[in-house]
Amino acid sequence: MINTTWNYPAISVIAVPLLLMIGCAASSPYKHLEFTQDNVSAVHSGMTISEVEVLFGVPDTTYNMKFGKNSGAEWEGLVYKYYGPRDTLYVFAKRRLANTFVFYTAIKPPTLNNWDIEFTSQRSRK
Amino acid sequence: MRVVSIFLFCLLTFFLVHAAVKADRKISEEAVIFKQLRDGVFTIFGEEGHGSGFLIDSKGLVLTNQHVVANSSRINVLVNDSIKVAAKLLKADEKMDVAVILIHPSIVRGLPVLKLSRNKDSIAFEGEKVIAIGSPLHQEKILTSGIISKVLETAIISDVNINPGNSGGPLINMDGEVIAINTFGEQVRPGPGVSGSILVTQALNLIEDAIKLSNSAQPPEPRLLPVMPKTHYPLSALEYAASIKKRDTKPYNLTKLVERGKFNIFISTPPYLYRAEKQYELDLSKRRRAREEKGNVGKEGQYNPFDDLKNWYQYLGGYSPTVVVAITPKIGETSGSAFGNLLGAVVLGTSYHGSHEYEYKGDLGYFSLSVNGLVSPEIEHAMIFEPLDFLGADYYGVYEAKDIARSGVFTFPCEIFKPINGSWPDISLKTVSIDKPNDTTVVVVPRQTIEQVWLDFEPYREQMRADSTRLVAKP
Repeated sequence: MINTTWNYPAISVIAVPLLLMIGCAASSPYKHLEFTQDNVSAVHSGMTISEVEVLFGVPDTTYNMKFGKNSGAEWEGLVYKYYGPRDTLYVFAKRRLANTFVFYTAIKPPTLNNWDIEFTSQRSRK
Repeated sequence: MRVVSIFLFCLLTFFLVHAAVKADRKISEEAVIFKQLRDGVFTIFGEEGHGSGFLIDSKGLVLTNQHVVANSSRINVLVNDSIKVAAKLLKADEKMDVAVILIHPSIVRGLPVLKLSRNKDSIAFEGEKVIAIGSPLHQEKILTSGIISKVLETAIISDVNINPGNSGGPLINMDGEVIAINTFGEQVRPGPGVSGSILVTQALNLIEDAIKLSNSAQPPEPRLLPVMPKTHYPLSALEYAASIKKRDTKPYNLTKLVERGKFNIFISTPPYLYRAEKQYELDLSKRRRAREEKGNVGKEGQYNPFDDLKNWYQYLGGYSPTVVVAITPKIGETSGSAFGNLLGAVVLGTSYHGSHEYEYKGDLGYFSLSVNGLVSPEIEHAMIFEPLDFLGADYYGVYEAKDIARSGVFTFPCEIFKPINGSWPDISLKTVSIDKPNDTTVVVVPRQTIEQVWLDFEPYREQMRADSTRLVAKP
C-alpha cells in the first residue's frame, strides 16, 4: 500500500528555520548599525579602547601590527576592524567594506592613533 | 685612593680594548675602490635574463657581455634602485662575447666612468688582488674579491666568487682599473669553482668603434621605467592565502578566452603563486595528515608545508608585490600527423597504431599589456627558449616531439589594476607569434580577473599604509 499522507511535521522542520533566516536577513543587513555620521564625527585621536567600543561595539576582528617603518619611528599598534556591507565596486570578487581603528599600545591605556572609515550606517540603534 | 686606581685602570683597559677593536675594523683597500666605483656599475636586463655592465664613457656607453643582451629587442639598464632606462645596442661581438650599449647621457651625469687598463703586456699577474662588482642572483651592486689564479691569452682565471648575474661586470685591480669583464665560471660540486673573465684589452677595438658610432647614434629617451618595488608582500598574508582550502583559479587563467589561440596565458599574484607552489605539497601531505590525526601527533611532530616563510626570504627574491603575466606556447599534434592518423583510423579501424608528432602551436615574438589603451612598460621581461622534447608510446601508438619556441614572463606593478574614480581599468594583452607577424591576438582581461588581482594585493596595501603611518596619539 502506498502512503499518500502529507508529512506535516517534516515540512515545518524545513520551513520554520528558513522563515527565521529570511526574517533575520531582512531586519539586519549588516551587523554594525552604530557607524552613524554623528558617532563617526565624534572619533578623535587619543580615545581609549573602551571609548571606541562604547560608540561602535565589539569589533569583528583584532590583530597586532607594526606601524611607521618608513616614517622613521616604528611602533606597535592594535588594529580594531569592523566589517560592513559588501563593497559595491566588486561585482565578482567578494570584499566587505571595513572601518579600521589603530591603537598605540606602548602606553596604558592604549590610545587611538589613526582610523579609516569606509562605511557609515543610515540608522542608529539609539 | 685604591678604589680610584682600580676605576682608572678599568677605564684605561676599556679604551685600549675599544681602540684595538676599532683598529681591526679598518676599511680595506678593496672597500675603498668599491665605494669609488660602484655607482658606475649597472644591472643590465636583456630578454633572456639579467647581467651586469659598467660605464666606460660619459656619453652613456656601457660595456657588458654579448650574451647578456643576446636575442633582445628590448634592453633596459638599472642605474640604481630607482632609475631604470631603455638602452640601445651599439656594437657587439658574439664570439668575443662583448657588447657596448648606449643610454641617454643625462642619466649618467656625475657617475664615475670606469678606467680601462690598456697595458697589453702586463695587464695582470698571478696572485694579484682583484675585486668584482656586479648584480648576481637577486643582489645588486655587490662586492666580491679574490686573487688572480692564472693569466691566459685572452682571459683571466680567478677565485673571485662569480655567479649568474655577474656576467658583464668589471674585474678591477687595486689601482682601480678594469682589467677584465666577468664572463664565465666553472664549478664542480662540491667545491667553490673558478671564475673566468675576458681581458678588457680584447675589447679595445670594439670599444673604439662603438665610441665612433655613438657620435651619430641617437640615444634612447631617458624616460624612467618602472623598477622592482623595494618592499615585499607580507608573509602573514601569504600564509593565510595558502591556508584557504579551495581557491578559485579560473580568474587567473585566460587561455580559454581566445578560441584557437596559440598561447596559454596566466596572470599571477603572490598569494596565487604561493598557493599554486604549495598545492603539490598539500596533495602529498593528505594521507600523512590523516595518520597524524589518527595517532594524535602533537604540533611539533606534524608535517607543515608552509614552514618556508622566513623573514630572510625577501633577500632571495621573495614575493614581490607585482603581477606576473606568463605566456607559454600551446602544444598540439602537427596537422600532417593528425591527418595521417585520422586516415589510418578510418581505413584500419581500432587495429591502427599510429605515430603522433607534436609541436608548439605558437612562438612568442611580441607581447604588450595596455591599460586604458596605453601600452604599460613592464618592470622585467624575459623571453626564454623552451625545448619540447619527448618520446613515448602506449597501446594507441608512438608520441614524439622535437621543437623549440619562446615563452615569456612579464612583471608589472600591481598599481596598473587599481580602480580610478570608482571604475576599473580596461586591460588588454597583445600577443604575436613569430610565424604570423601580422596576426595579432588581443585578449581583453575580464573584470572578474581585474577585481581578483587587485583584491589579492589588499594585505600589501594595508602593510604599506601601516609602514607610512606616523605616531600622533601621544598622551
